[in-house]
Amino acid sequence: MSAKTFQSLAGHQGINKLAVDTDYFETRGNLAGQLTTVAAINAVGSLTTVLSLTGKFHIHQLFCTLLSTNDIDHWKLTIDGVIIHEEDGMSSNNTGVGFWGTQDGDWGDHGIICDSSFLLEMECTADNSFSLWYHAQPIL
Amino acid sequence: MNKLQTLMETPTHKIEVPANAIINPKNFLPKISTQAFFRRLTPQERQSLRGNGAAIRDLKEDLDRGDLVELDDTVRQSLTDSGLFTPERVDELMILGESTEGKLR
Repeated sequence: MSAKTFQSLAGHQGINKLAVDTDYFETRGNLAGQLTTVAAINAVGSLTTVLSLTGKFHIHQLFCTLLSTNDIDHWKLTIDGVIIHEEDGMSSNNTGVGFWGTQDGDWGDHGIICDSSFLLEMECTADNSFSLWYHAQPIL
Repeated sequence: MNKLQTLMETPTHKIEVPANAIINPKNFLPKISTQAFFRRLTPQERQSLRGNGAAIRDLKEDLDRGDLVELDDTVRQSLTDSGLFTPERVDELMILGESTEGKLR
């Protein structure tokens, strides 16, 4: 397929373009292979930065694995300097806690865009080695 | 503030995770199509690139095959070793988005 930009496909000049051309998506039918894994995170006892992005990003997927049952004491999500969610406790298990997106890597989830910064912080009771999976695509 | 390690840092983008975490770098960096890559080059850069095929042979082979260019260390090194691009310019070329491409169109 020829490289048509999403911008031109959409017929819109002001929209943020999330891929350089349609090939980007065509070659990524399953997003799972594009995820980055951050393993051995220790967030016991204090609110710990799990993922910090500076700049403009599209975050397609974000989830944790290897957590014990209900071990998350506290978590906070700050986007563009604004706390959009903060709560004590969150149900969890060892197969995955999805903030958004799923482990099967489906493009169906639209994710979220941050304009200048994205910060996910977590605190656990006992788990000192869990994993974070994410896909954050830089955009300008 | 907990210590952090930087996974990616460009003039406009930065990704940080806990300092002690173990990173699986597989597919961490975005890929860019060859068409988009060339569109972003200035006419002078495009000309220089064509004239320095030997210096960046591996990259050129990828480009000739029409493969996606992955922003890995090898590609970065090839581009900067060629003397045609600064590391900052490589970041600019590889970042996905409309601004860079639009500017050079």
